[in-house]
Amino acid sequence: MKKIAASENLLKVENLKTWFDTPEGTVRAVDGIDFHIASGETLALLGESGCGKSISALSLLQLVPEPAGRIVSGQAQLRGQDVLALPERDMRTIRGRRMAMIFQEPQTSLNPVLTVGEQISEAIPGGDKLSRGQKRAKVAELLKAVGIADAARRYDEYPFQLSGGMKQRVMIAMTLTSEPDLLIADEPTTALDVTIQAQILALLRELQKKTGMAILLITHDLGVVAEMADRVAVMYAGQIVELAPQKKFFSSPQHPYSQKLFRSIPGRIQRGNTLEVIRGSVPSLNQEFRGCRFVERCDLAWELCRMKLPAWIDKAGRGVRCHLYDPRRPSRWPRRSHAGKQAGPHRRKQARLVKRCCRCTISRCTSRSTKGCLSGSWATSKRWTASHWILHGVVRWRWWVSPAAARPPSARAYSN
Amino acid sequence: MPFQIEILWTDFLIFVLMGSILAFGVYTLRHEHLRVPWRQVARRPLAMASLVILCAYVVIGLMDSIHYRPLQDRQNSGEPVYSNVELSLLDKVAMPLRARTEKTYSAPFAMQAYTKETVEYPDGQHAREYPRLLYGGAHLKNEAERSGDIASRAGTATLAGLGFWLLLVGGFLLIRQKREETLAQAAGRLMRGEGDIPWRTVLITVGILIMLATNAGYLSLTYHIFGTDQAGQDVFYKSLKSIRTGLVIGTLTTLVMLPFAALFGIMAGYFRGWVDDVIQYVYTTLSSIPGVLLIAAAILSLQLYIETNPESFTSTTQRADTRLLFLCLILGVTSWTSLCRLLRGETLKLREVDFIQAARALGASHATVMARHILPNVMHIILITVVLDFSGLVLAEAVLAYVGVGVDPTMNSWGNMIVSARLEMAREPIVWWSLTAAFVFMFALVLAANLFSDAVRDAFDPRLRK
Amino acid sequence: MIGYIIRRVTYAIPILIGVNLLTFVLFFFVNSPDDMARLHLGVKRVTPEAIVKWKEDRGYDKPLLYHGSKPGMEKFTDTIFVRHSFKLFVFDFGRSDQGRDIGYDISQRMWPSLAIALPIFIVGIFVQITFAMLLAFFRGSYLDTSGVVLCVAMMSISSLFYVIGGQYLLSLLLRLWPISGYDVGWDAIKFLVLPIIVGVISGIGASTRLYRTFFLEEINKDYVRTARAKGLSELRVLFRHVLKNAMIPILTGVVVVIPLLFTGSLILESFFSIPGLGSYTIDAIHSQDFAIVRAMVFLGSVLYIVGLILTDITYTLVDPRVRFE
Repeated sequence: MKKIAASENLLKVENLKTWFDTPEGTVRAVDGIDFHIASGETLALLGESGCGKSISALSLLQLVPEPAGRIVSGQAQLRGQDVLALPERDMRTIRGRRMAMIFQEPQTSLNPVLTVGEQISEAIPGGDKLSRGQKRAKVAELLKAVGIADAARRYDEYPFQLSGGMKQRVMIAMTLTSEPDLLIADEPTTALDVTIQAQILALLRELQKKTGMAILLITHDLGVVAEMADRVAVMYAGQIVELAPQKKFFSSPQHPYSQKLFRSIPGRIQRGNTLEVIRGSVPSLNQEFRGCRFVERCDLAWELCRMKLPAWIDKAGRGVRCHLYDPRRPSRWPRRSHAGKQAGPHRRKQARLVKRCCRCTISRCTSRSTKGCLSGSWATSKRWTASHWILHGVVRWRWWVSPAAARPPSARAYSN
Repeated sequence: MPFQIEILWTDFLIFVLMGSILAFGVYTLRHEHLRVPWRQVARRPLAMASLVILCAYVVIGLMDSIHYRPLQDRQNSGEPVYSNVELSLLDKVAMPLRARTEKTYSAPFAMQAYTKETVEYPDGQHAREYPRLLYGGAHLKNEAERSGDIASRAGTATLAGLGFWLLLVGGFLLIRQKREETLAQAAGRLMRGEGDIPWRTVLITVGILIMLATNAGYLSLTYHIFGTDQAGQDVFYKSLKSIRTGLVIGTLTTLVMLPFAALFGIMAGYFRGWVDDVIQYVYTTLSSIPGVLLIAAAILSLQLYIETNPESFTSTTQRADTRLLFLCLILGVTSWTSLCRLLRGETLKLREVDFIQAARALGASHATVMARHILPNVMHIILITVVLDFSGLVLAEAVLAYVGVGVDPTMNSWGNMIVSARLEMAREPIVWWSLTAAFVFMFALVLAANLFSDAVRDAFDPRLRK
Repeated sequence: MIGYIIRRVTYAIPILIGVNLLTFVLFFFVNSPDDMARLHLGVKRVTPEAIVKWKEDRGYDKPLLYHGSKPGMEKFTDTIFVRHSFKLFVFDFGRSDQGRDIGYDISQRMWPSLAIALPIFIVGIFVQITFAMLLAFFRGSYLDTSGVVLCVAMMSISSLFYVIGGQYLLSLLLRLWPISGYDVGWDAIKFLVLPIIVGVISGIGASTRLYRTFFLEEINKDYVRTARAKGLSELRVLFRHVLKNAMIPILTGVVVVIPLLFTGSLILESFFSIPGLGSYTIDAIHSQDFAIVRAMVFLGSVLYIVGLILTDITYTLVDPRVRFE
């Protein structure tokens, strides 16, 4: 599906790489990401801590901490202009004007010795030429727009006199001074209470509707994604592994990592069963990866995953970086392989273990290693119990009959 | 016995200090979590080079701290009579320097004295000229030979030093050689500077030091490389002897003030209430009095005591030593307030931390909580302060000597050298070598101490830790 | 605020009494009034009557701390300690042991001290903050590393060397200014230039490095990142955001020494023969003139406490978080 060219190109990021030089080696925090944001839409960048999402955002504004960090390669076309190639002086006209950013910790992100009003009026373009009264008026107007009551009084207050939610509103007010095309929100609600979280997200949505700005929302919270995002990009270990519209993402996550994320959320359906845990931990980013980065933790991995980096497969408006979806991969049903170190003779032994079908809600696994079957295909176990045969057949039949009914239960809960 | 060991008070305390440092070192090595910041210190090449230089100074200082009296003669009854003069190990090693005194000033590497004298020739003639020195350049026939002689001697010394250093490097490589590699590969690894600890920098610093030492040692046998002072003593020898004074002042002072500062600071922060008020009162009062005054009063009272009790001090060395000890004590008394304040602040913060409250709830006594929970957590502040104060104290000694309340004027110290140098500056032509020698030695020590303490502070300060 | 100041001043009084007591004990531990009389009268005129008269003249004939034979409170009040110390609290310093009016001397010698100390202070701070900001601006570059090494090296040189070196280089060799001495009125300027230069240079090393640390601490904080994201220039960020925050620790360290400027720097004054309060104190120590020493110590303590109070007030002024508590 081709989108309209004009709205597709507010921001187009291609092959962005940001590396850090540390004593332990070069940390490839962002290792080649591509995405685009249309004007007026919200793209959520989802991932766990340490996957490089904050650094991606900082790279867009050329705010990567130097001298350790450097943008190695990549382009970020903001309405056709590559902002990564701009010199610092020109970059200053972009920052705060066409692209603005709000940060995660409102407690420390405001200068403690300057008043709120002074900090907001600093961000007003051409603010030096305004008189004091004009500045106060503009600031009061902005504070009202972000929902702070008694805006006139707040001008002379200091950040420590405001609550966390109000500080975040002040940050948003600072970004509104010049009506940016793109607002980058780096986990804006992580440090806030849940009720305040909802208010801030509502405020962002309202402002987006009013000004038509696009939002790049960085988060690790699927709830925030469900509430705000038009499209979702999942990041893992410095790369984007899945990019999909929100509804499709929640109904059928494609990448094994995304699937695991959904399965590990406690919910109504999971009650009574053990929660899924993604075994292992994020690989350290100061190594050169040959294959897929998720291979050590993926249940569905095989030798190809270890040897070759998966290509980005773009299909039907969504993309995924996984060999499972690669139409050109060697064989349709790849040989089974332990995600561990063994290969060869052990493989046949593993094949005898029961696989748990990923679409089943009933697990009758008799083996301790939880290898899911390939999505939609048969599990090749020889030790199924009879009930599992029956249930699996029932589920498969339901899937042929009605795809919607056979969605993974966790995603079903969310798309309501 | 060819000699009789003499233990001065400061010697005793120095060895106590060395013992406690070694014990601390062993304790640290056995606990992993204590090793981590030290490993961070060890990673910085500048810090390791400074450590090498500091160790060289410490070795000289320790050598100078082993005192003995040599055997003078035997009485008729066979009883040994020991000389009145206390010598140290450094004196024995540097005996040529010590024994070769001229009459008065002479410039570095000079062959003739600084001032003109009336010289009598064998044939009865008198002339007023610069007399030849007794020892400096005595083996030379005339002025022209000097530069050649110096160059050749320097060359020999450098080669010897280089040879010795290469042996050291070879031995080091043998130890570091891994099982599968050849010596050449180990050398290659060393040259590239691989690994955490900057051995390359360390070895290069050691090499430079060795070559300087061999040069200085060999040349000083036949010349006065830093000239002589007014009494004819070799300035290089005096500088070497002053090392111990500087080190003693820098370390013993902290040894003295540390227990008090720690005790009072932790008590003030822990108990709060009236204990806190009293301790705060004490240290505010003490810190409002100018330090110079306290030191002056203490030194003057010591002098009074010495004058009224001459029999308890058997020699000038002992007198000077007692005065040095007293100076350390009083410097400790004047400088404990800043550490006390820091510890009090830190203890106030620590007091509210959960594990302390848990310990109290489990019934630990005050003393146990303070010693086992609070003290280890403030050790980093103590360590940083101790190391940072060292250089300040060495510099302060010079200032105090100028004011007149420093170490005994008969004791060798850089402060005394500078004070006498000041008067020398007014002479024509100017006598610059005493001042320069004091400057060079003091600067090297203080710079090395500063660089090392920087690294220690960066490694131990929790705010700077990643 | 006023209440706070009054409270601090009241708290200062026991401290001053303690200071007095300590000075007293220290001084008279070293020598008794008899010894002092002997020292001042000289060898020739020492007779028992002269000693008694000398002591009576100066009020040293009373017992030191405790007068056993007097009734009631006079046991404590009719002593040297009380008699001499309480007058200090009204700033009546009395006469020195040589008979000079101490108060007058102090008021005369205060100005040369200030004439050196104040320019050193102001110029010094300006230079140090500028260098520190330069190093922080170019952080990580070779300029920064070499600047830090230079600071450490300068810090490791004793101030005595700066004085001697400055005197030698600028006075003897280049003959720019006189080595030492002082003059009245505006002619004094040529005598002041050298001490001021020496004072500023000897103080650069340690302070610049410290301030650089403060600046770097602030530069890595989150609000600086926000300011940059707003599109502010690096210079603006440095001056308006970083400097303002870094001034808090800088000021707290600096304000405490302002009152002590009056008492001057002991070393500089004696090396350059400036007749200020510092050399006044040193001379008094050498000649064991108790009255002057007592007066100077008291003055020093008062100024130190004033400095502490000023620091607290400044802290309240610059840090709004403290202001609103």
